Amino acid sequence: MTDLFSYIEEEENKKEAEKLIPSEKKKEKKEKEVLSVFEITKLIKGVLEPNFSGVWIEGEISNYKHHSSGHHYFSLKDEKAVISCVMWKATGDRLSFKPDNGQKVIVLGNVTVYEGSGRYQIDVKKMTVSGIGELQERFEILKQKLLEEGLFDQIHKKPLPFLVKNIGVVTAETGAAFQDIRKVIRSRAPFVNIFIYNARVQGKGTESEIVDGIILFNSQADPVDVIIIGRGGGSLEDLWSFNEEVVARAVFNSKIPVISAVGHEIDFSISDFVADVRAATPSHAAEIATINLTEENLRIGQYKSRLGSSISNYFQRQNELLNAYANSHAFKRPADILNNYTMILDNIEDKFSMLLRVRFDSEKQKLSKYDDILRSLDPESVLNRGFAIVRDKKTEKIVSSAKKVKKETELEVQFKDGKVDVKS
Amino acid sequence: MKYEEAIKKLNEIMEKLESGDIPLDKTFEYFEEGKKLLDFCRKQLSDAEGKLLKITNKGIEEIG
Repeated sequence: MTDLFSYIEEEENKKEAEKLIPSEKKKEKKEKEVLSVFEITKLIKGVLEPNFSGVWIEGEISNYKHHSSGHHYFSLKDEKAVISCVMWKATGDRLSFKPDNGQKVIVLGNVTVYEGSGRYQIDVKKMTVSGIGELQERFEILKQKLLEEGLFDQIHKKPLPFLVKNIGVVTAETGAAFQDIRKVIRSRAPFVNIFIYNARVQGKGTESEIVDGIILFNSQADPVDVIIIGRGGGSLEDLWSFNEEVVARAVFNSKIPVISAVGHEIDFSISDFVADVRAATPSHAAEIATINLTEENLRIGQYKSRLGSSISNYFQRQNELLNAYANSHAFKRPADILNNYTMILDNIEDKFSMLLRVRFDSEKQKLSKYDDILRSLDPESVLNRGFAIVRDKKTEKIVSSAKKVKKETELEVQFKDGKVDVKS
Repeated sequence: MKYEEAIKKLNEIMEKLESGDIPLDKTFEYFEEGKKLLDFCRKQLSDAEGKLLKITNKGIEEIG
């Protein structure tokens, strides 16, 4: 019996031995040292912290508290789990938005284990609003991808035609952007035909409408000279269609030059990078596409006057040339003959005039001699030299000899400046 | 022909005309051509108001 019992026991033991794993487990447990709470916490910390540093987590903010110390305490949750987060003041101060409960965010952080409370939490180093962060990231990824592919390379940029007659516009027909484009084109280059492809430019799926517009313009038998794609300002989400890869590809593949004008000056879209020209605003795009009509008219005016003066200058030059020909070898002999006659005539004329002059001069000399004589005979000039004229006062005859003067005769003496009566 | 091509040609003609060393018959030829180009350019810049057209997959329609 004992044997039997021992057999049974042995068999039981064998069965137990066959269940090797549980028996060993029991053994192991017994061999492990017992850890203190602190020790196990330290071990957990050692496993968690190095393995979960620099992780990105997306979730919804709840239990948000901005403590008076400046630190931010909150939880991130989704449908199935919750995780505690802390964001220290220094990080929190750099946030570009105000966190709030229910907001979807993406955080970058490290898992930290707090021995004191036996809790683990995320030490948040960065936090962005989920939606925008996602778009921003997609933007950067696509930008990098297309950049590496060479879609932005200067070598692919098509020059804009100098004078456009037909401009294609892909935007919302009723949008402010199109009104601005129209206004600028009409004022600068009124003769331009504007073709509008009405595309919605905001919301999911609208990128395909922009693509359709670009393709349609390219498929025309008589294509436009330039295409403007764009829209007015808005949030990143509003402008998003222009950051879609399909739009970038359509712009790149367009044979017609494309001007991209999305949002305001500060907004850059993928289509801006791919386009042949990036305009700051839709109005600016219209300015780039059109010439300044006033300036161009001035230029044409200058050409007109140049053409006119070039032809009149030509005739003047031809005239000079003809004169030169007249003096050339072919005409030289008859000219010589003519010249001889001319010379003779000239000589005769010269001589004649010389004779005349000599004659005239001698006449003049004679005249001046006569004039001198006459002048010396003039009584007044005698008086001027200090002589006086004596007349008989009664007879008024000049008395030229003292012998002719009787006693007591009244005489009149004329000086150059007056008369004096005297008695002999 | 495009406007900028016309301007370029006009410029070349002008330079030839102004250089003066071309024969008479050529001068008139150039002058005539220059006049034509000038007219062409002026016409391109004419004040005649351009059209506003709507383009769809179905075709082009004038809307203003």
